[in-house]
Amino acid sequence: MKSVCLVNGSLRGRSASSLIFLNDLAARLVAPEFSSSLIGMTPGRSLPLPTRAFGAMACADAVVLAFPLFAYCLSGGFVRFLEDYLEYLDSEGGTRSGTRLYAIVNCGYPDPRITVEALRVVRNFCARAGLDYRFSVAIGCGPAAVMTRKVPLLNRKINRAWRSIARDIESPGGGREDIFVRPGIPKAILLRIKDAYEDKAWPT
Amino acid sequence: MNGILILDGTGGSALSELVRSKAIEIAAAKGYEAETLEIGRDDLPPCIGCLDCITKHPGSCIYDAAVRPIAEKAANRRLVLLLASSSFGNPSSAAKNVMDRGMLIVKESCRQLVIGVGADASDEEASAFVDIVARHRGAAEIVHTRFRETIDAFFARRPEDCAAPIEFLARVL
Repeated sequence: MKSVCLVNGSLRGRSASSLIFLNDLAARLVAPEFSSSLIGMTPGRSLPLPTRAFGAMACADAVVLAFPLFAYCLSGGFVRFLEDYLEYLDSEGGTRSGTRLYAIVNCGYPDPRITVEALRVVRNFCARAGLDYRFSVAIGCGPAAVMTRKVPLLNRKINRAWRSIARDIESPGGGREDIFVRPGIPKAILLRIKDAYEDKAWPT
Repeated sequence: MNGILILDGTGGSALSELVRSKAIEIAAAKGYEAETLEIGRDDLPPCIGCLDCITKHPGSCIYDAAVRPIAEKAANRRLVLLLASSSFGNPSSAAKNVMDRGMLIVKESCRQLVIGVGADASDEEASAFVDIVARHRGAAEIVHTRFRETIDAFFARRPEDCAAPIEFLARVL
């Protein structure tokens, strides 16, 4: 049985797209092949996290980090989480060798390739934490992907991405490339929805 | 325009002290006053991505009591310089908590400069840091219509790396 630690890197609580994606992935990580646990952050000034949350992460066969893109990289809150985790590893004498890491990044931009620097940061984090970086799933316009994730035809690529993670955790193959998922809704429509929201808030 | 504001999110190091003192020196030579505000890891609550600052009450953060004092200090500055240490190529949490509110803290008319400092950063981390800040200049327009970024970025791992950002500062002030 593979133990998988799912980390919600969003501070938006239950409404977070990152959490919804993790729950969809968790639905594929079922016994007897997998045992999964979910840890997340609490909004607040100092982000208190119990040490046992870091302990679960350090002991897992695989870790999945899901987080939103903030200004082309990781949010201040999520970086704090990872900084604290590295401090924890230092105090505990390092990570268990062979832990594999996957990331799910969702962004507001229609083109998911805008996440490439954030993915570089995740690889750098893995190098420092001694984790085996496998691959990431970068999702363009995360909220739209959440809305269409149950819609047949529009959800194929995202479902394939979850299957790829589950398969790789179970039996890791060779090197894998990052997966970029564009939203099923056309970019022009997404931008019009966005403009409508902003125009309402910023009357000219 | 009344001088420059240095937001120091590095927690203090010999390298960041060097950059800061050189920046203050250049500003004084150009006739600007410089004010420094140190930003610690726990000074600003992290942005939760509620987007209320864009969609519900434009221009203010739900953590207004923490963000407004910085925004007021930054108002009408000629330049805001953010000193940030690097966490695996990402700006560290202290600096990123400021950058995630960039739209509220630094107005369009103000020049922004970010200098990453970190003696132990790898080549790849230093390169990722600069790309994160500088490569997407103007791209925020795609998502947030009123957020036009003009941010320049440098990274210093050694004292000699400070020459480029200081020359840049001397040129733009």
